[in-house]
Amino acid sequence: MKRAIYKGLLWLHPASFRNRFADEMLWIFDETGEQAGLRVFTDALVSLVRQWTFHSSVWRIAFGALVSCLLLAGWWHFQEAALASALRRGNPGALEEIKHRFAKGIPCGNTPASRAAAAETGYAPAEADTPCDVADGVQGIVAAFGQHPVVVIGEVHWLRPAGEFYLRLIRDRKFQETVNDIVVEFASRNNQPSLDRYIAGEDLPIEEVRHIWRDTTKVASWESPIYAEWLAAIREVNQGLPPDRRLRVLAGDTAVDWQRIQSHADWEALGDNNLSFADVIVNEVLRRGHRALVVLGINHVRKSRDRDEDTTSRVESRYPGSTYVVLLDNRGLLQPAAQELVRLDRFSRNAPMLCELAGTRLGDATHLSSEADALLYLGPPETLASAFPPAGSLEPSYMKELDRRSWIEWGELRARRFLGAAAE
Amino acid sequence: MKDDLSAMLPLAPAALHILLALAGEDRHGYGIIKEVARQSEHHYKLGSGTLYGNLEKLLDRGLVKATTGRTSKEDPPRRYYRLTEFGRRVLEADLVRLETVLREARLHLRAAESGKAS
Repeated sequence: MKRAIYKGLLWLHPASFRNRFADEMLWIFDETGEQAGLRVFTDALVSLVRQWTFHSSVWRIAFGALVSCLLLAGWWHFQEAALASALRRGNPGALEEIKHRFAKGIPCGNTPASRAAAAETGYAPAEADTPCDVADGVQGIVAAFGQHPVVVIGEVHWLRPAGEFYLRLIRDRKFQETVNDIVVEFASRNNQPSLDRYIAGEDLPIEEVRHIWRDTTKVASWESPIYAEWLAAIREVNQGLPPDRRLRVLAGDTAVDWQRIQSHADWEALGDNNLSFADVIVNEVLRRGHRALVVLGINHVRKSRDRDEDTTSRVESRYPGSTYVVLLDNRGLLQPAAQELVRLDRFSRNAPMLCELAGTRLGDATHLSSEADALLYLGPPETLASAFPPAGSLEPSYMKELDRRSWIEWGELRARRFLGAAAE
Repeated sequence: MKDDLSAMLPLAPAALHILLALAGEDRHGYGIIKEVARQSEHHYKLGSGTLYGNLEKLLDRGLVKATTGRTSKEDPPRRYYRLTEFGRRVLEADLVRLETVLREARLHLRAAESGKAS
């Protein structure tokens, strides 16, 4: 056995050395190996490293790679300098390049000179004026998965632009290649089997599918069509993906059987659904080595040392550094002063945009950097409209059940108020 | 030729021991290992990887050459290594260098000791 290992070590030497000396070395091993033990193997290993390092061409390859990197860096710097110079001369091709970079969320200038020149075009803010690091929303979220297995979007429910953004996300090829699971608030865990069957493309009666977003712990909270449309889109995307790369939607909300909920005490006994969200993320995502997009209400996800009750804090306590929290911008999140700071009107043409908060003026001015890693800007305030269920879309029997649930949760018919025309 | 010699100096410890082992007679690899151990009173044990790594350089630089021989009629023919004339001169030059180092070292040590005594 020892001889075979030693012979193997000799075989790993460069051929020129091996052909010249391996037979002699093996003979010496036969003469001394049994007595010498570990020292002989250490000597052979040192010889192996020395021969490959100095005797072979490995160092030449390393030197060549280093020179290539230096040449590439020089070439890149020259290109950026040329771009800056062309911008200052008003070259239309350079302006097109900056427009392209701006539209794609690529940094408009990669050196101080080209950044400054790009800023003069009006398509990129000057470095000193940049309130946050900006990237295209989809690309920014996909990029965040490079450092964090869980990207959490804290949403404002029912926003139409948010629904459209979710569709863009799951239709993005890189997102499909990167992410395994999508954890949602708008489904309870007892409906996971139905959810799996639906997302897998199985034909289910609409009555069964609707239970997924209707029977959750929060009454009538997911009747906005954006959630059903998102599920349908994921189901459609999965049809074009290989089975092992299909997106799985994980129901995050606490399991609930509304037939057994007869009083407010019954409803309260369901407990804090942050426990359920965190449990799903830890056990179904992180323990399996998966990557997941998580979409929850904004109050479930804010990072803060003072708040140990929300989902993010619970997950972080088990898997520190695992989450990247994105807060969805809305009219209440950014105060007018902060809106002025980010000059949102300059971004609106290219929304959705992801604004990194850590170490930026936006993060400092709004204190949002203690609560999240980034802000997802979907558009100017006037475009952030809610998507309501269409009038007459909720059947009378369901409305009757919603009234019952409303009484249990709130002691009033509150659901009818926010459902709008659909409840009439 | 003087320049050629100085380019070889100083010899690495393993190379010096190998040349010393070959100074008396031609030896095969195992013979060199045993002779180095004997000369150093078993303080310096040459591994075969170190031996052949150094032998390769010595062969390429012409300080040593390989020949074929056998210890006895029963033994298979083996490669023996022989110190070349050039190798012998390099070895002698390195020994002169070492003698100078030794002499200087002794002088300094003596001077230090006499300084302490006064």
